[in-house]
Amino acid sequence: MIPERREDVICREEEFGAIIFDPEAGRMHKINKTGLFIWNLCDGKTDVDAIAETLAESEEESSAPVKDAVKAFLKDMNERKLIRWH
Amino acid sequence: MMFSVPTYVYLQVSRECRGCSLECYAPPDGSSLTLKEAKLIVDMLSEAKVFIVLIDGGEPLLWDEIAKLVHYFKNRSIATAIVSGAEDISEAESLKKAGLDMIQFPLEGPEEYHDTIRGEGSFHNVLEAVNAFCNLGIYTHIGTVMTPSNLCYLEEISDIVSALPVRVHRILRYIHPTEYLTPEQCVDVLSRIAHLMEKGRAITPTNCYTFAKQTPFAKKMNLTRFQGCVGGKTSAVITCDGYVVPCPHFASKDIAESINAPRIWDEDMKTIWQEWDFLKEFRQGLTECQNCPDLSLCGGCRAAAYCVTGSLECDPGCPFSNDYVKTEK
Repeated sequence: MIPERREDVICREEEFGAIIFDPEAGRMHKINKTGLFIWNLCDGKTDVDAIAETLAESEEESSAPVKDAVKAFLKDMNERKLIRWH
Repeated sequence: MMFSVPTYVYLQVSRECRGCSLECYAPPDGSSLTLKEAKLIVDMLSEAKVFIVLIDGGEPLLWDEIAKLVHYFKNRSIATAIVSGAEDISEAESLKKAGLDMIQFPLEGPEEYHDTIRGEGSFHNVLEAVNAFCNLGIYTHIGTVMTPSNLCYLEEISDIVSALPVRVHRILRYIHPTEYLTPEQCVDVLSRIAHLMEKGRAITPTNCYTFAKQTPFAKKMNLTRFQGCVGGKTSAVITCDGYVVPCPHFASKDIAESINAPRIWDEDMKTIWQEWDFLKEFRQGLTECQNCPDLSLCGGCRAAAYCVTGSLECDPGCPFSNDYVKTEK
């Protein structure tokens, strides 16, 4: 499964992470720095396992718990209709 | 938490309107943006990643290029709303095509009272405007400026609004040097809004009732996302002379100049937002609020304070201020 950010959604980086704005719904969503890291990898080319591995490497953690965090974040983004799946 | 730039901005395209007897925060003075200037501002806001723009006035619907401007905003994925006095709805369909997301119209009281304030026939103009924009599928809000004079009509106004297809009825606070709502009246308004909400009405106080969350009615009003004063925290205003000010109540040329407001033509939004000293002071809350346990949630209505005292001293409507507590005792 490969997640891809919606093209029209705007991401504004902030000290705490970022604000994601959905112009269609007119809604803002705050995400933390880990969320932003994952969001930036939702490029329509990188699958969930690869995102988890990259995140684990960057945080120097094992990939199993990180993969759960990635899945939870992507589930949230999917429910908010901010990403689509390939 | 401070954002790097505002999340939403009021853009005052003009101070032209047909006038009303409420003392306005931006009285007519002939000033107006050109479309070229407005587009330049859109480009700046887009580059700064401001998400939402509320086009304000004057009466934005009397500004010739309004539909073109909305279209320009929408092409940059900026959500766009208009705060209107329902003075001209001839552009309704063009605004729909341009992608307008939301519009707000005023209702100050029942027909006779509303027409006394905003001119003969204006009550019907509002009803017509609401129906026109709702039929086009544009989210429509009603705003009521609550003053000591129309306080008695709150329920009656709510009855009228509840029969309209609008999304929400917003209760604003009249900011005036002498005719402001007293602490007792503010508490009265909030308790009555809470009661109307319990009856299922889509009614809400605006952020100008900065202390709403500290009142006993907060739970009934479901104010979980209420942030108190948002001026300088999440929002800013750009006037039609290019001044950047923290709140629409500072959007007249005189007031903007009295606080040495910087101009968007001279400095970018990020620099103004992060470095202008008045904005830093504004964010900290009023002087009299500094020892209040709810300072971070509230800090008082800076506009009400400035309007009455000419400084950021104390909110004349705050029910928790020392003066009111003393009076009550």
